[in-house]
Amino acid sequence: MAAASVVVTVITTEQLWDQVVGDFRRLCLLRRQKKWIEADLILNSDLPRSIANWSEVFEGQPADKKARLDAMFQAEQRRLDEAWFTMDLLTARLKEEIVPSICAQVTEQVRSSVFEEVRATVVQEVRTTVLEELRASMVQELGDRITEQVRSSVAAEVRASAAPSRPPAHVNVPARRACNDNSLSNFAEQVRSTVAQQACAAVLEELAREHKPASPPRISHSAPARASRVSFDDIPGVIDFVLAEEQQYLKNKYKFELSACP
Amino acid sequence: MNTNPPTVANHIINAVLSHVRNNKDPLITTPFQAPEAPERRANSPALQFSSGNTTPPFDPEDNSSILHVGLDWGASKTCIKASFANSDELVLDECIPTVLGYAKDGIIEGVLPNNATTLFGREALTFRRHLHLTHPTLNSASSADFARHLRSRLAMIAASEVRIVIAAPATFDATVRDNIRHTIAEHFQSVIILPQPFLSALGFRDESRLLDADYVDPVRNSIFIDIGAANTSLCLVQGYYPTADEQVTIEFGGNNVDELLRQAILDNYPDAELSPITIRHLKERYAFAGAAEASVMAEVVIAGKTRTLDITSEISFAMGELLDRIVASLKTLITSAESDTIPELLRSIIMTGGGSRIKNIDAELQRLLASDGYADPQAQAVGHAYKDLAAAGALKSARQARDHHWQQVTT
Repeated sequence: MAAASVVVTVITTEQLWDQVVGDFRRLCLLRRQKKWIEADLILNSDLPRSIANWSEVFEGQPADKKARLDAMFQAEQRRLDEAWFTMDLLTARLKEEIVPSICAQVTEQVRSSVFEEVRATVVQEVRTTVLEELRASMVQELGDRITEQVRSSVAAEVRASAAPSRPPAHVNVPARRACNDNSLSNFAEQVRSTVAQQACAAVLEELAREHKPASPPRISHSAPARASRVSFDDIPGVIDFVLAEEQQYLKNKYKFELSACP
Repeated sequence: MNTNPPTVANHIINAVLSHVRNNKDPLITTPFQAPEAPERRANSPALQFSSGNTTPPFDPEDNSSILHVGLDWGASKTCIKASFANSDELVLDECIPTVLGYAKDGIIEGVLPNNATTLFGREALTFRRHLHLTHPTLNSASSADFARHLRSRLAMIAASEVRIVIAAPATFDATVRDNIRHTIAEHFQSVIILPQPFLSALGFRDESRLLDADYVDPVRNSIFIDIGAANTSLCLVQGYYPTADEQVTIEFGGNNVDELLRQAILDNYPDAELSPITIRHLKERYAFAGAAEASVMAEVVIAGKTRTLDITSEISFAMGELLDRIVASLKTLITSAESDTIPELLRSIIMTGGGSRIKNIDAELQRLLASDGYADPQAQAVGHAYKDLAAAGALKSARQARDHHWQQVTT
């Protein structure tokens, strides 16, 4: 029975000592954090109470008690100083080296990834658009040129047949056809060079802008300027307008959400 | 650059890159989405041929095998029209009730066709007693299921690509439209979403008659009033694509009229058994605007017995509420038009949507405007064709859209 009560006393004493150590540690920490009010509360209330409780059950002389308390105060302060020093070192290292390094790596990899994806889409878009437009313009220009040449040749033929001194019109036909073929060949060459120039210019222009994450939808030729109204008849223009508005809205929203991030 | 970043950095990088690669970033998605990878296209619904053959029954390079679809996803009815790029012939022209039914728990085998767990449209209404019914709106959680059903309507048509223009309420902003695009992306990859009032006006216009001397082009100077189930939209069309200022949407439509009518009947007959479908039938059969020509006597079940009730005043009250709201919005819209265009504008008020089927609604609107001092107002309801207008406009838009307009979303 006596042994049991001794065990209980020992445990209680240790628990009370732990309480004293804990309170003192909290006090030091709060003072380090400049939380003076909370520190004063512990200093004036919690710590004296826990020391008194411990002192009541601790079997020893007052000088022993004081010595043990002093030793604990010094040891705890030293531990805290060391911990604080380590934390300062780590924080400085994080701020100066690790975080910037991570940020740089993330930025670089995201940038290169976005760059690749946007470039692929832009190149595809430019290629499709240029091909479409050039095909249309070639067909139109060839049609116009041929119509013009046929018209002029017919007029010449009419004039020739009207003039009695000139040879019959059919004699000139092969020559004119050869002339037409030659003109068409020259024109085809011109178109080819124009195609190459336009494609090159468009690709260079897109590459110059490729750092942008995405460009707004291309405005069709039929679409009027943004400031003006879009005609009801111009359905491609209406779609361009709606898509551009949508892109702008999402872009702004995305920017806003991004800027709201800490 | 360090090629072996720390673990934390790798984690962050992977998280960011997976976000970008999943194409969830609105800046990188539409409309400049890169073409789909071959392995993805192989699984896409557009390439599932009804014959089961892996060889497409068309030339993939041939534009004529592109299927254009116009879709008006209404709160009550959904209209879908489809035609091939090089043909005016409609290969699909359907109007489906916008309703979806999920089988109730513990249902006996064989009660539902093919023991289906989900039924759509008319079939869902037929078997409604065994289903949890829902009306999937474009921006609802069940929209993906309904989109799957709509896509299945096109599955039998062999096409190299399906391009769909969807009519969305004018109130849906870009974020909602973007969400819709992602929700239905599994079933429709090439999508354009356009405002419904614009598409209704476009659908109403008869381009083949523009040279007729007696044809008044409805998009030159008109007001379109679309009375839908969920809301009513009013749109000023004066030859241009309407701006936000020229469109008014009021959150009051056929469903609200149903609720008012139900409540009014219950006030007088508390024991009346009025399911949503019963109320809708009563409205569609008896609704009128203005003064009643005769008393409306309708059969209603009360405490298990069928009784004939006079619901004239209840209907008059509900319709009056609808018209009051329309007139108030109409007045606001008219003030935004240039003054010299107003006389002609008032002579061309076009009413569409399910609500335009209410008997005498156009004449009553005219009367209300005239009694308020507006000179010579003329309103016309488009009649039975109201269901088709937005889908027809959407199909017209699909046919004129350029390649770069099609917004492709990967899932």
